[in-house]
Amino acid sequence: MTSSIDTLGAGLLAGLAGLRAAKVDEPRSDERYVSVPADLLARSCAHLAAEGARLIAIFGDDLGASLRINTVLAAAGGLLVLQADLDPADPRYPAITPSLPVAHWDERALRDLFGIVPEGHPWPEPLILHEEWAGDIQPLRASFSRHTVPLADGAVWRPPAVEGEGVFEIPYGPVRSGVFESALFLVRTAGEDILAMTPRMFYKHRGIEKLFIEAPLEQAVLVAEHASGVAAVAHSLAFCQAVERALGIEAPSRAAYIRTICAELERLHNHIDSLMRQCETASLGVGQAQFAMLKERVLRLNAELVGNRFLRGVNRIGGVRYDLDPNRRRLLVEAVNGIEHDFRKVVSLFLATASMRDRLITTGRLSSEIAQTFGAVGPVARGSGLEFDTRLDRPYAAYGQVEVIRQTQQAGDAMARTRVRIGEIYNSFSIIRQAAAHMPDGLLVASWAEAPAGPHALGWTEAPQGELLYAVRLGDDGRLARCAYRSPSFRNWSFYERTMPRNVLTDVGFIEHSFGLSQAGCDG
Amino acid sequence: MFAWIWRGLRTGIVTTRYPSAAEAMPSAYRGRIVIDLNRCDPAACRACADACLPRAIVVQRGTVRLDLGQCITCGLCLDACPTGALTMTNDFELAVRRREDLITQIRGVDHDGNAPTPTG
Repeated sequence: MTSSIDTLGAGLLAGLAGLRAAKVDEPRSDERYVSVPADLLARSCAHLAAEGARLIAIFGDDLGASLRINTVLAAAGGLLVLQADLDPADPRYPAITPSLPVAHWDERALRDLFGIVPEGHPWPEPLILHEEWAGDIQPLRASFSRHTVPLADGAVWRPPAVEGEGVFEIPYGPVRSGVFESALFLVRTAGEDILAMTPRMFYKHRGIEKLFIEAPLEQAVLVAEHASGVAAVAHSLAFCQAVERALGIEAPSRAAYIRTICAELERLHNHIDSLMRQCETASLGVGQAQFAMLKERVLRLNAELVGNRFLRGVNRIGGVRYDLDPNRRRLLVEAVNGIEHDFRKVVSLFLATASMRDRLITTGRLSSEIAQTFGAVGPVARGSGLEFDTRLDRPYAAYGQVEVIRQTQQAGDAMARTRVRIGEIYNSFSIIRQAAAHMPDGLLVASWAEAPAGPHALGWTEAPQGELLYAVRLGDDGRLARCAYRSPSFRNWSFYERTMPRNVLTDVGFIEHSFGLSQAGCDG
Repeated sequence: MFAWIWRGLRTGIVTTRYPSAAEAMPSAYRGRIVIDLNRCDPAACRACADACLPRAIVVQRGTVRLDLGQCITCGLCLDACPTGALTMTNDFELAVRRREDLITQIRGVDHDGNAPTPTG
């Protein structure tokens, strides 16, 4: 990311004929909106990507008179949103995917949820709506009611064929062991080596984006919190920050520190969980139990600090709901020191265990080219040498006041992703101590007057799984008119199958846990 | 492998006697919501129901109905209640054998001025 949004915006306007008169809106210094004609959208995105911008999300918005495509690109210094309006009677535009494959799931989602047709998309099959969904009905259009679910009878899904002598299919899921969530991974093999994998997601699509606009603003935070249970803080924080930016308020500094501490506690229990599952998959019983105990200590600490094991209820619009007084902070630091002491011992055993090294090194290799092409985020991107970390690239909460150390590995295999997480766990211990030591006094929540009419804004966090983006638009009544999010699990699962070929069947579990994604977070 | 065995032995037993011995959540834990019958007047107020996203609390015809099967223990109803009739305990053992046992219904003050009565 070498170009700033200032030069990108200018370069875009100068570089493309027909855009010199484009409308530019800059509500905040790090957020810029540019209107482009729909037929120039794909070319504009490709142009910006060539200049160093990174496409991170595409989402639709039904404005009544038009259907709008918002394309969000990240550059140094902020986010640039290209907006293209389409006629709702015939919404089609030249697809972005042929020039930027990162868009492939986003554009299929646009078609499923809004009926917007990306013309020339190389893989135009339905993504989110399964075959039981009846007919030509788009659930994110304003006219659709969440309470009617049109189902078709007798529809059958046919996966793409892989043929050859002795090739057979192993369906893994959608009902799976343990507490893994619903997803189908259809593995094609001729024995032990995996030839291809076809993932099938969105069994759990709950229409969350529609749920948001039915809830009053204060209660909508709860919807964000439940979008992905293991990332309650990341989701509610990204949502609150988006709304706060739209309202033109900022959380008090003390609240920002509490948010940072909670976000790092969330990273701890997610990353330790990933290590625990690697041990489980390798049948390393003691290792599994040791990491499970450490994770449980984090969850109990969470409950002690804010009354909920998964830190729900912490964030509210304008700040936080619970204070961390000096007694709680002392308890926090003591507990974190104890957990770090034991983690250090267990993880050194983990890394020295031959069977773990054997299962993780060279497994599920993701090249930095594939990671870049398909927009990998989080520990998956950093394990393949990409340096994205939202906490450093666009600091939020109190991340500008603590030392975040970027963790990257070059190998791109399951071990590299595991090492990234181990590095981040140590960094989280340190960030929590720094934030607890330097927390300023002050208010927990900023107040706001009546909501301004019709503002829109973006909010983001670095969830344990990676970069998470929220986009909100407030209506004239001060309620949410549209809320969209792009989760790191959606991003990273869109190319997950590409790590599979040349691995063996027993690698699948290790690769999945090294990705460490959330199904609910992906499905929406 | 011996290092793991040693680590496991050194850790000892960490499991507890629960459920034969009680296990308390921290005092701040947000668990079961309890309504104080004497402070609630569902005939005149529906603040808690308006604050409830999953509609676990419904106020209708002078009756407040709390369904713990719908409650997500967010606590927004506590903030909304003008009389402090709602409290949250650290009780996490909400499971029951019958679905209807999750529901508490309270009728407001009746026309004779009698105190509210729990039903159901």
